[in-house]
Amino acid sequence: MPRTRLRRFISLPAAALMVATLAITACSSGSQDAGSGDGKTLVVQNGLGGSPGLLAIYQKLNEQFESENPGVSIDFVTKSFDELASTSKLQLSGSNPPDLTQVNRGYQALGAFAKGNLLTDLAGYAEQYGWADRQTASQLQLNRHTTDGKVMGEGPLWGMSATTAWIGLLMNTEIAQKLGITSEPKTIQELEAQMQLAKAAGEIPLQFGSANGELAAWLLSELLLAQGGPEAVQNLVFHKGGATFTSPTAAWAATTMKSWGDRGFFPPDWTAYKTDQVIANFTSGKGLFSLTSSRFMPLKGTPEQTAKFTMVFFPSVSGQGLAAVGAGDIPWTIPAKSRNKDLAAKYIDFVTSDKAAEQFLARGAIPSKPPANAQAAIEAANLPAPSRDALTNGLKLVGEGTPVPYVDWGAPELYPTISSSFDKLMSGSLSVDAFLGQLQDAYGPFVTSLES
Amino acid sequence: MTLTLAARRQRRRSAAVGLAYLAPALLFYCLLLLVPFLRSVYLSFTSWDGISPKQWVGLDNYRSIVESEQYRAAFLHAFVLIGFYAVLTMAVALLLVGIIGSSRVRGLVVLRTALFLPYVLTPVVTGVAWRWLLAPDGPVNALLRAVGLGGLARAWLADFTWALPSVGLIGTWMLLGFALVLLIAGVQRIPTELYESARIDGAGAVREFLAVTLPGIRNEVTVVTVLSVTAALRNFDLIYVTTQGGPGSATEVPSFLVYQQAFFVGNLGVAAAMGVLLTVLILVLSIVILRPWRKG
Repeated sequence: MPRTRLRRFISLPAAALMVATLAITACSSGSQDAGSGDGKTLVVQNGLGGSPGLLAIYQKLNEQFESENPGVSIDFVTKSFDELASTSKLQLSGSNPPDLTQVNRGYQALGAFAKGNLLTDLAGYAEQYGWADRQTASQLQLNRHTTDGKVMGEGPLWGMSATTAWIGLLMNTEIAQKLGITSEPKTIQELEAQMQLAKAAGEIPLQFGSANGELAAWLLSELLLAQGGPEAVQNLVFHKGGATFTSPTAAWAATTMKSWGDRGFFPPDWTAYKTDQVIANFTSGKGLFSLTSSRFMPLKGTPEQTAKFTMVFFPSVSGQGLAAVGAGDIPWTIPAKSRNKDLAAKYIDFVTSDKAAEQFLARGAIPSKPPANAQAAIEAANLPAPSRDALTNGLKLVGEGTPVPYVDWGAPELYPTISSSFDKLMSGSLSVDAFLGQLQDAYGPFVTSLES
Repeated sequence: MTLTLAARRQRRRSAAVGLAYLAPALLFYCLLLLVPFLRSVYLSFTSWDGISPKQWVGLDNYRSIVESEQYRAAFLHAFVLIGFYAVLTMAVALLLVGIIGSSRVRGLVVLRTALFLPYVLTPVVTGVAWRWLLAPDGPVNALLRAVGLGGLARAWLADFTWALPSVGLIGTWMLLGFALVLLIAGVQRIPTELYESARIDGAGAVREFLAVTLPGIRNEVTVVTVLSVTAALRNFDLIYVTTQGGPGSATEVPSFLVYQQAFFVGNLGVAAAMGVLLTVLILVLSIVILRPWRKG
């Protein structure tokens, strides 16, 4: 029958075309973040998806790099931090990693990559460009890891951070004035007194949220620092001095966190809020204080609206010393299989240079190497008040104070354990000792396994 | 009845032809499912961080899972979710089917589309939407406060007691429409003579349902049960988007822990072992569900 023959006439080529199309699309869908190797396109992968402010600065820097290096074009691949952290291992061990990528630090990330020979030792480039003079030893230390993956903070240099972020307190000066508070708290005692005043007046003392565990880890780190000083945190992270989570310092930190919850210093339903919601709640005018990272600058709102906010240091018990949790942002590294290593190193040199530092400053980010006339540059930048404070205090921390790493870097299981145990501690289903015991269980065996 | 030689040869040939048609799909199935699964089983007996050489550890990973209170609790939470995804969904669906009965449903096409929508939406979209709905100052709490039930309002997904049931109810919402569509289709196929003869014998509505409807939709019930049980055990996206295992570890489920161990802690051997255990659990439950119905 003619109809059937016609159908068969059409259907066969149609089927063949479909198969061919499928085959072609399957072959050509190569990874878009693979290095090209032709020396003209530099594939640069970053994990700044959650930091639009920094991304905007890097766009400008990339344009400058391209104009200074004619013929080079930068393929800037942006990922969220979670995406970067979960896919780096596969990428770096594959055959086509990006020419240059940021990587997460920690024993299970940078440490594992160092152990697996997946990154390029930057010693040669560091000497060529003089990076050791550009950043302090303690800044470079965080990007070192021994090649057996066992010791953080020692061994070859695997990456360079271009910017720094530090943890502090956001303070609403308008609410503070209403409560008769004239200056930021210098000691933990003062902080608790101020929070008590806020509570009595019906304000939220400390904006907080534990839905994604981040703020709990920051609070724990800051409290350990407040009571035990920088060594308390550094020993835990770098596995020195037999540090444990069952020490009196840790017990004080846990008890303090619990007491703040019991005394109602956190907002109601705080278990429901993730970090970005907490900051949003604070900037909408609710809360005297909030934990924050300087990387959340600039705060949302016009300069007039944010003028009543400031970023200050989290106080210590004694009120002495200048220290805060802070570290360089995720470092730029060169994968071992990168095909554009020299160009990648040139890019690293560019983003850590004085010229780039001025650009970071001008838009409210803290460069790892502050330029010579930093204070003047900050004034000239005309930034909103909280960004200015974040910068000024941040540079003070890097220059004169002691930045310490995040305590959850101490072991791979620490972050998820802090995340889940914190809520149980605050709700009362875990006692302080049990809470510390869980942290130690996530930490101790790991440390022992590395020593063997 | 014994087959003649010719008949047997014919049967073998049709079997071979059938296999040939299946071959491409079988190939994909082997490459994309069987081979990775077997590899996971192998990985589950090793300790591996993804880069360094693997170390054979035998049953250590399985032992640490069974001995860990956290992992055991995760499997318990998965069973709670089965209660919502499968049992509650089926109960409500059967009740509704019993009420609707075999009567002609008007606008079935539109109804079917609307009912099927929650099942078709990706769990990520569902999770984000419900996260907003159940937020402390979200619409659900606003509604409760508006009708004077403000005392019941809470942070549903962040409450130690209510987080897991909330996720379970989201699952029920996802699957109810799907169950209804299948069951109604099944009921529509039951011959009306059976209902008439039941009525003649003096059966009431309940007796009618138990004696005629339920046996008639047996196959549909089986399909829905198997799919909803596996959905309950597999759900990673919904947990990841709504609670990420929190508050505390109240909504941790095996699939989420697999992700956490594999990608953030770097413990691929343990993650693989969890995955294998989860697969075995799903297989066992599926067999258990399918067996009694197969006999009929």
